[in-house]
Amino acid sequence: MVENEHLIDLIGIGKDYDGVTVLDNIDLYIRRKEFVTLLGPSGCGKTTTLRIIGGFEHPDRGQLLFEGRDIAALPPYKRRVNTVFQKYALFPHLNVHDNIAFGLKIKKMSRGEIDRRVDYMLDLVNLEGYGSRRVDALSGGQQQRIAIARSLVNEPEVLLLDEPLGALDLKLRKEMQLELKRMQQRLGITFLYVTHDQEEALTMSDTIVVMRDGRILQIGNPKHIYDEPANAFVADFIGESNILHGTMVEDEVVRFAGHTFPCVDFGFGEDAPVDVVVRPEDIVLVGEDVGQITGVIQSVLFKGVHYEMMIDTGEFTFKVHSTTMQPQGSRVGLSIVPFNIHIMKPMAEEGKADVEV
Amino acid sequence: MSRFDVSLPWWAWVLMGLGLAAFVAMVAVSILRNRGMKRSLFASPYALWMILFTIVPLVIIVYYALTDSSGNFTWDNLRNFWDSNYIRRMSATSDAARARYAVRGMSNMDPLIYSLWMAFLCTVICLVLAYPTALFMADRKMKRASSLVILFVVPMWMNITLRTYAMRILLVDDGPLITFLRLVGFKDAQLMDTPAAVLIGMVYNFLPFMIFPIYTVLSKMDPALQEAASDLGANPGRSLIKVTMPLSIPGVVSGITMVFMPAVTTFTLNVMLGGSKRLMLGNLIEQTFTKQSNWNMGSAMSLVMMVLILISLTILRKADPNNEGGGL
Repeated sequence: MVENEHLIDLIGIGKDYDGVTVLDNIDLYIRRKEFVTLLGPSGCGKTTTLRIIGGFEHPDRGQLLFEGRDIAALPPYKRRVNTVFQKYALFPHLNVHDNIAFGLKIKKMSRGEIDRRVDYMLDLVNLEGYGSRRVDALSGGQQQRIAIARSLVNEPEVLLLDEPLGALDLKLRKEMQLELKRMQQRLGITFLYVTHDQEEALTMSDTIVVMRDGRILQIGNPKHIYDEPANAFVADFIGESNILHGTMVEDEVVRFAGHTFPCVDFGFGEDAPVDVVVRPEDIVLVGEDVGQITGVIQSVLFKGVHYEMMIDTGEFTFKVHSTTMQPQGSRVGLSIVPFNIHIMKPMAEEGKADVEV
Repeated sequence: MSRFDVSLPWWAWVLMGLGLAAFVAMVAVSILRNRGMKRSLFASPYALWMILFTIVPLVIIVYYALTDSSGNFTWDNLRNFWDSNYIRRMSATSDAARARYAVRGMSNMDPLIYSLWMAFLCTVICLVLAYPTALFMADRKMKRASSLVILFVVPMWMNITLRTYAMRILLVDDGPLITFLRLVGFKDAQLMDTPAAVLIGMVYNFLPFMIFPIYTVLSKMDPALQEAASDLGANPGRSLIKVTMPLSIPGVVSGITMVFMPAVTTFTLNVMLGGSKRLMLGNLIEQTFTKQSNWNMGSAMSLVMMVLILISLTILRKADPNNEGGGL
C-alpha cells in the first residue's frame, strides 16, 4: 500500500490539546528529495504537524511512518530527522564551531572528521572562519545559517524547518529563500518547511500543503494551488483574489456580480450556489462599450510593477491589477476570459474568506 | 567596661552625623524639587543608606580591628588570630566549654577551619539535594510545580530559632529518628550535640537558598534548547550534561554563594544542635564580643572572615561574569 518512494507517511494523524482538536485526520506523504511546505495561518496546525514528525509531540490518533515503519514511539534523538527551530535555539554556551559539532560529538566522531565536516558546513552557509565566534555576537541572518548548518551536518534524511526566515528582514528573507532552495537541491535532502508566507511557499516548494484549523485543505504543486485553488479560503490565502458568491446557471455558464459569464467548469448542477474566484491580474480593462460589465474606478494605488485599482460595478467592488493606469472616477469595461474564472463549491463553514466579500 | 560603652573616635561620629544630615536633606530636596531634579539624584537616598549602614559600620570594624583597648594602633589583633594557642585559650573562656575541653581535650581543628569545612560540606550536600529538586520543579510537564515552590517557601517564613527547636525534637536521644535508628540496629546512635546534627540543621535551613536560584535559571531556560539537543541526537542524560547543566551554572554559583556565606558565619545552629562542643568561628566571634567584651579581637576576627568571604565571592564571580544567577 505504501509506495517505495514515500519517505514519510502521515496516516490519519490527530492531536488534541485539553480537549480541543488541533490536528484532525491528517493524511500526507512526503517523497524523498521533495521540498514540501506546510502553509497556513497561525493556529492551523502546521507547526504541530512538524513537531510530531520531529518527535517533540505525540499524535493522539493515526500512524506516523518513516520508510514504512511506525516511528510514533521513537524519541527525537533516535529519529533520522533534524529540525531548524523558529528562534534557532543555538546553544549560547558554545561557540559556532561547537554548536555545529554538537551532533557529531554525540556520535563520537573523530576530532579531525568533525573539524572537516564543520568547515564544510561553514563553507556551505557562507560563514567560513566564523568557527570561534560566540553565537550571540552574530546577526539574525548569521544565526539562521548556523542553525541550518548545525542540522545539516548530521546528514538527516529530512530537514524540518519551522518558519526559519520569520525573524529576518524582507531582503535577507528573499536571499535566504533562494539559498535554502539551492542547498536543498545540492545536498538532495528532503525539506519539510513550515510558513505562513504564501509567497515563500510558492517560491521554494515542490509541493504545498495548505492547512486550516487542523485540516489539510489542498495539496499540490505551487502552480496547481495558485491556478486551481480547491476553495475560496485557499484562493484567498494564496495570492490576492476577488471572491464572490455566484450561481452556476448550467455547465460552463456562471452568474455573478449581476452578469452571466461563460466559463470552463461543469458538473456543479443547474442553479447551484458556488464560490467564484477571479485573480486581480486576470481582469482585463477594456473600453466601456466592449466590457462584459462596467464599473467606476474608486481608487488607484501604484504597486511598483502594476497599478491596483478598486472598481465598483454596482454589484461588487473588484480588485484589478493592470500595468496601464486609468484615472480615478472614470468608467471602464471589465472582461474576464472563461479560463480565468475559477468555480468552486461554497465552503461549509463561515471563514475568513467570506468576510472580504 | 560596660557592654554598651560605644567609644567611637570623633571622626566616626562626624561621618555618621554628616551622612544622616545629608540623607535628610536629600529626601527633603527630592520632595520639594521633584521636577527639576536630575535622574542620578534619585539614587542618592540609596547611596546614603549604603554609606550609613554599610560603609560606616565597616569603617568602625576596621578601626576596632586595628586598635587596642585604649585606642592605639596595633596589628596584634590580626596577628593573634593566626596564633592557634590564642584561639584555644579564647575558645575555652566559656565555663561549660572549658569544662568539656578539660575532659575531652581540645579539638585540633581551628574554629575557622571547622567553620569552613562545615560550610563546605553543607554547600555540597545542599547542591546535591537541590539540583535534582530544582530540575524536577522546573520540568514543564510538572503541573504542580507552583505548589512545590510553596512547600519550600513556607518553612522559610518561620523563625530560624523555632525551626531549629523543631529540629531538636527530631534529633534528641528519645526522638523519633534515634528511636528508629536504634530499632534497626544502631544501638549507639546519637545525633544531638554532634557535628552531624549541626550539619543536618544547616542543610535544612539553607537548602531553599540553593534550590531557588537554580530553579529560577532552569525555569527561565528556553525549552527549545533541550529540544535542539534531543533533535541532534542527545538522549536525556547527555542533554542534561551538555546543555542544561552548563547553562544553569549562574544559578548554581548564586546558590553556592547564598548557602556558603550564612553557613560559614552561623553560630546559633552550633549552639542549639551541636551543644557548642566544637566552636565555630561564629561562636568564637560572638563569645569574644559578649563574654569577653573584647571588641578589638572580635572585630579582627570578623574582618578576617569578611576577607575570606570576599575572596571566595570573587572566585565564584568568575564563573558567572554576567551575574545571570541574580546572586549577590
